[in-house]
Amino acid sequence: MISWLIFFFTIFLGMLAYASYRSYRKDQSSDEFILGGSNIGAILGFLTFSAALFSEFTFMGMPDFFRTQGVGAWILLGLSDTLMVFLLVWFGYSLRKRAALVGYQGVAGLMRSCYGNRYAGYLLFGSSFLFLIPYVSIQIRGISIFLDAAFPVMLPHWAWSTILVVIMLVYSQIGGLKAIVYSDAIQGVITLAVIWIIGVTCLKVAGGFEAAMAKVTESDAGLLSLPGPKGLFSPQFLIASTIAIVLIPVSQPQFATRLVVMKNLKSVHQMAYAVGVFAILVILPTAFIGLYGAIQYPEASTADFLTQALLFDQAVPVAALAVVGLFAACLSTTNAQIFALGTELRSLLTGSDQANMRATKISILIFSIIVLIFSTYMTDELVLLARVSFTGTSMIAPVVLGAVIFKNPPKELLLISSLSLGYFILSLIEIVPNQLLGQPLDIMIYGILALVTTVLMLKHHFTQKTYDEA
Amino acid sequence: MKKKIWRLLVSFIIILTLVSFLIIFKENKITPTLAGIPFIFWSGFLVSVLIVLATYLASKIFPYEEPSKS
Repeated sequence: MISWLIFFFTIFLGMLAYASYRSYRKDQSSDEFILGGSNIGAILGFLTFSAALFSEFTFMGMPDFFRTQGVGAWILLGLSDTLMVFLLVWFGYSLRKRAALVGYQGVAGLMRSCYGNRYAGYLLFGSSFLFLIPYVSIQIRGISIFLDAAFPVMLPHWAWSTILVVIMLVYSQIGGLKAIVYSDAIQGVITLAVIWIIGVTCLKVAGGFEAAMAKVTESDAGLLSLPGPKGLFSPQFLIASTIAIVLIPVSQPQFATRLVVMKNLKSVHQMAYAVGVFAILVILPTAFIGLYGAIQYPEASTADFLTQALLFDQAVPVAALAVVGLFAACLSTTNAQIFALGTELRSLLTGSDQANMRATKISILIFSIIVLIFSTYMTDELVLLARVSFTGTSMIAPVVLGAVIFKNPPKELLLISSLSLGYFILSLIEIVPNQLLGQPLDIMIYGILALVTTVLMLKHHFTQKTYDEA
Repeated sequence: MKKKIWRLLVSFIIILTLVSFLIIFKENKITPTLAGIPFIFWSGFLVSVLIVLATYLASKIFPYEEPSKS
């Protein structure tokens, strides 16, 4: 196993080193460093978008969700992701149009320019910082605990976390966004290939899809319908999750930036449906692994199930490849999010290009250290924590949508997004209840936000001129 | 014409989403199965495929022009 691990890791790290080398330029400006030359084609674009989107949360969280919560997990992620890519067709166009008119350094800077208000930029950066840091931290914690469980005598879990962050820092500091895009492409391909190899192996052992379903029916028929055996997948939960996921490209800057740095609109549109196909391809085998787990390890803990299904039940080369695949999945999401925080901070800075470049690189280092520290305090509930992160960032979606639709967006959107975000944070720290009128708070906030945003935008539409009818 | 198709596609997606969540995805519904696959799984999968196909079509007929970079 160790020799296979060394073999695959050497190839993987060699490819990352080559990506960094290809991206390195001695006299790189901060724009080239942060925006990668704004010339990303459809194939690289779809791979970097997919790799940033489908993280270790997909690789580890989804099989466990299928195993313990049932087939409704498909609606939670598969269906909502495909809805998100449909939104990309319009949102990519609108965002690029606005960015072309106002200039683009990052979403926070764009908001500041569009609203003519510093607070708009701070609001976006604040929500990203508050919710992306925990999300990145749980990813790092997830992979490090998994590796610690799989190889208990090799390294402690904090050492795995540190290795991952150091690798990410090295190539992102050398090549900037371009290196991240190249490495994402490598990581995306590895993730997809590995998850299919493991998924098909699990399905074969379970005797095929039909036989697996029959066995699951015998053991726990609740897994085959909504709301799942634990009642998690209620309509309210699924609708709120879908809204949070559909709004990811609007409210999470690492995705918005990827839309802006694409070569042209045609590439954005090709990327959109390619990400949709990738979403289906990457989530489907997680169902196979989850169903296999429901048959073989129905009572096992998450860590035990994952180490068995992904490592010990696989042939040695496949298990070693799985470790590399997990590492790649975690790395691609982590680098996208930490780099995005650096980008957003830089978009709020005024000063010389050299000073901004230095500040961005230092901020990426500081964010990485914060993430490393946070990762030692996080719980292990990957999927649910990821969902909280998506929900939190989605609260500022009205601000971004207002900015891409209107020439002079209504400033009231800043107020309603701030209030929603503030109330949601208060519910997370249990100062206010997480229910409203007997319904989950997130869906109630979405309902209120949708209503107020629609009224504000319609009112604004009839008093101001929009950029476009689209 | 392109604008008309685009608006039709947007309407199709909105209606498909509403129908899926309000009518198709019912609780405790396992049948009808498809090759042993429970209803929620195959219907959810089918809706996802339809949305990706609509995205493909939308990307081809999107009626607005590429913004020029400043």
